Amino acid sequence: MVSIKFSRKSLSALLAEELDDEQLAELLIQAKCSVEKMGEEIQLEITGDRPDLLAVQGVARALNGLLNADKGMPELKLGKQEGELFVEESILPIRPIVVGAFVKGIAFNDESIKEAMEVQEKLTLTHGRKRKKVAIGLHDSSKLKPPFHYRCVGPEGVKFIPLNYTSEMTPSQIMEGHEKGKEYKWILDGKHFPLIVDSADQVLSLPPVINGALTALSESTTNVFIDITGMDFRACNTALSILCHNFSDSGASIHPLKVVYPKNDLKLRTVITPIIEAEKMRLSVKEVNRQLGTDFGVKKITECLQRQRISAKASGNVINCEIPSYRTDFMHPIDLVEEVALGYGYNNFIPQAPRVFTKGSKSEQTVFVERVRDLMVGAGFLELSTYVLTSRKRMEKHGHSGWEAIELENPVSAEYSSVRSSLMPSLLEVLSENTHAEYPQRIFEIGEVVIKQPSHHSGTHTKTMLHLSAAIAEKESNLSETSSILFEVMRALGKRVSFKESYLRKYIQGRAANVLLLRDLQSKSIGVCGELSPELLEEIGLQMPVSVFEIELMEVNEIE
Amino acid sequence: MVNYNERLVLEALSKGLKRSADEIALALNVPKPTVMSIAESLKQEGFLELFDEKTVSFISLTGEGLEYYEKGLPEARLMQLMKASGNSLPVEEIPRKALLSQKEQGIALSWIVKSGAARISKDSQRKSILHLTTHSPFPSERALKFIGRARITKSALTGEEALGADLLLQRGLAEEQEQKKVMLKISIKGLESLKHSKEAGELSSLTPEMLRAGSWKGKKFKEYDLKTILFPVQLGRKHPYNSFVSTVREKLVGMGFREVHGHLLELEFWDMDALYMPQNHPAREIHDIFKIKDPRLGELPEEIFQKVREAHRHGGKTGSRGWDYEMSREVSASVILRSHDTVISVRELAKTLHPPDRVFNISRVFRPDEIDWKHFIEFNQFGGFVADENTSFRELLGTLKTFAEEVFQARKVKFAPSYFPFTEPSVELHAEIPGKGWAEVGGAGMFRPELLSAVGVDFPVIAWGLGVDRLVLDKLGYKDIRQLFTHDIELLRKSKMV
Repeated sequence: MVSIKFSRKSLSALLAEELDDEQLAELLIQAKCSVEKMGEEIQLEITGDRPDLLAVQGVARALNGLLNADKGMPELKLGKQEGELFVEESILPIRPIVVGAFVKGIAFNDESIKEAMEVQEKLTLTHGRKRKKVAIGLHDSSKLKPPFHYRCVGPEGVKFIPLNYTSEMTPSQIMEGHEKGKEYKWILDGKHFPLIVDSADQVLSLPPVINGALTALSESTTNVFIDITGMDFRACNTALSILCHNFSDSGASIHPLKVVYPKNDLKLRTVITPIIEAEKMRLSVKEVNRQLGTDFGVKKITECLQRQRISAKASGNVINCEIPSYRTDFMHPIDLVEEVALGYGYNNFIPQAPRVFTKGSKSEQTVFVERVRDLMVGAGFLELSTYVLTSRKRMEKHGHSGWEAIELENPVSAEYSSVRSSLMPSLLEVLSENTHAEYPQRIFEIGEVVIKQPSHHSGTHTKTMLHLSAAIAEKESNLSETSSILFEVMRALGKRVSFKESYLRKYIQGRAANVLLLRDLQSKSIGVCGELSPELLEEIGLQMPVSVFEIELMEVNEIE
Repeated sequence: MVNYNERLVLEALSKGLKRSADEIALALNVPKPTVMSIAESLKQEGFLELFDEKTVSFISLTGEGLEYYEKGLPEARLMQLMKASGNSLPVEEIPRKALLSQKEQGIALSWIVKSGAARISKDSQRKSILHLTTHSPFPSERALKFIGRARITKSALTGEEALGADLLLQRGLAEEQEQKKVMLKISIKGLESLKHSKEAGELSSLTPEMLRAGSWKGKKFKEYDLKTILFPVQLGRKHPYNSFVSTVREKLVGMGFREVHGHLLELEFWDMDALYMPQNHPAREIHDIFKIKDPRLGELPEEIFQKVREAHRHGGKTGSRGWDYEMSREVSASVILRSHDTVISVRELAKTLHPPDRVFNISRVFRPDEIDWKHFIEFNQFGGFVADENTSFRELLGTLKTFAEEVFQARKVKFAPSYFPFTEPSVELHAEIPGKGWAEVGGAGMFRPELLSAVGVDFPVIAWGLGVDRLVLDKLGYKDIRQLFTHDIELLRKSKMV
């Protein structure tokens, strides 16, 4: 989601109808814009599939369709080709794609310059992958002398005044000293720098980093040259098409640019940009109705598509669609089905209540967990639900040791940098944070933990286990009580456990036990119980005896 | 005449020594306020004397203080950054480099200078440069770490930490509470009354021995004072959130959904690729994911991996254009923390299913996100799908409407267009919740053909996810999303069931 802003005035100037706030908000939602703020200034959130909606012109274009004012695919009239751009051999291994166009007769003011810059920023941020895939330069073309050249230069290979600066800089100085240089130098290798110059060697831009100061837009700018460079032709051309449609909707005329490649191979051949040819796709009436659960006729479907600014012509039970070149989100006819639903309006559908019978059920795991929980609550324990994320330090401080921590590569906070492998540290943390609360404190948690397990069927070399842990903090808390409770809980679940001496350091010597699950004359260790050592209690700031147990209940999703 | 409770207190003082109210409370196993109210009434009747003795001062962190306890003080985070940047940094670069909010930047700069840990000078271009002069931790940071979530007596703090604690108090990051130590001493009248009540032979309670011997006959029992009869009782209780989850689960089961579970750790392949979210594309970034350091890479399910790769490349056998790129094995095999519950649905779909089928899961998911009152990096999702030859977008809307009515008690619903890379059409569910108003409560859509085909499904599937955490928060009267996972025992004891 990207947030965009524009003034209500700019939108109204482009809309076919006057709308009040409520009507406008409703229509914006139908056009897939999430409304964040409505008033003199409008703020919208735009989803990643719709870069065409990142500008006020694109939003207005969509709304005019829904208002039935403009139908079908918008026609972009191109003027005659204006100039040429020669791509030089040297740039091909670095950043080979370039497209562009000339825009004439723009009436800029302070606000529309700001809006144009914002559209460019947002387009390159999302659609352009932070300028790596697509970078855009807008230039006042009055001082330029085409044809242009697109080449690669070295770190000291050119000197020009970058935007917002007053003195000349080399590419390496820009990368180190200019804020945009520092921000975007990661895209380049530090040795090769793309450069667009005109026939008099005046620098237009050093894409994808910075434009030259020479061609900066101002309120007196009437003609603009757009350069778009990148790694992917389709993405670059879509961005160009979006910008050309926007300028054209604001009353400017668009003149194509001829991009000439040194060798005319299949991938990189000479083109005249923008390419605004519509994408063609066929949609069957049957498919629409099957997916939507409707019985729409050809006419209704065609109308819905037209409202979405898609050209649609019926031929029998098939609709031939033409999708404007500024849309990026069509891969499959299902994408047209959504357009039909959008054109019809989601809230105009009559929701269909589920018709077929299916048997609902809780999982066996849930049934089991609910039993354990009921038993523990019956034994007077307060249930906790704590975070799965913790840190190695926190776990160790609370007596957990001798395990392989599963740590995050990219934690957002040191306190939450590991996945827990035991519940007990969290329970002890809770006790140490509640020394002011009324005693006795009897707490438990049933929760998921993660344990390393090579070649596990999940493919992650780990397994997710369900554990039960409990702690009693009170004057006379002891091993005898915790083990008895555990024994009774397990007996109620139809399982038998026995206890065997354990000498873990966190417990008082001789007051801890391994918990063994007995089954078919076999026994398996499933956990521990014991009285915490005074050293540990002191370490975590507790002045009350604490006895605990933790056992594994089952593996999550054991049977696949 | 003293009642039963009052007599217990007098008996505890019967040796004639001064004892503190805390001691008595501990000895009788009753809360201190109860002891105090009994003592007050005994004092009025002259049975005992009360003395105020020395006060004890406690210190604990405020809400803001706790936030810094988790994130680190702004100046400490700035110091970290400065260390990493070779001890000096132009002031104008701080906003861009440091992960500090605007407010925090001001705080950080002001305190790092005020504490003498750094100084500001101008360089040749008249730019302000910040120089770090020491690497030793701030006293306030040390005090912050020491106090943490606990309530500490002030005398436990010494040296640097005490110094730091004073600074925390000044800055409103910690607060101080004083507690008087109240001492009780029995009076002569009290001692006499005790003696007298023993002689009067009033019984304090009925015992099995009395019943066996019949010695209760003709005796009188001490009467209770109903004003002081209540003791705090610790009930065994289900966690309020889990209790709400059970209610929702019952409703989903009632609607014909069966429950499934998944793994906390997943392959990025299942979490993202299998959901037709292209690598290195904005559609992947509808949210971020946590990666695991070790095990870093897992084992890919080869057969499905190839099919999914084909779907990303050119749409597989669906007639789709596909994303037109080559999936990286290494990205797919990365081990991550489950970032959304949809991964459980797609894993379920990859098994052999027999439509019609309705499936749901309730799962903990993880996303690197800003931590504040309405966001945490861990939260719960309710999600699932309906697989049925005849299901449709209209049925999806009908299913969502039923959820809104059943789970959220909504009176009205609205549907808004939305975008998820794995569904088309996609929709957002908005519901008018009683006492709350309109809220977005879920996202849904029909799984894309590229996704279904790659996991071998040839019937339509509608998928949905509900966000209930904010609703539970309102119902429980909590103010912060993190309270759903609270460590506060008293809060859990006092929470109502919802």
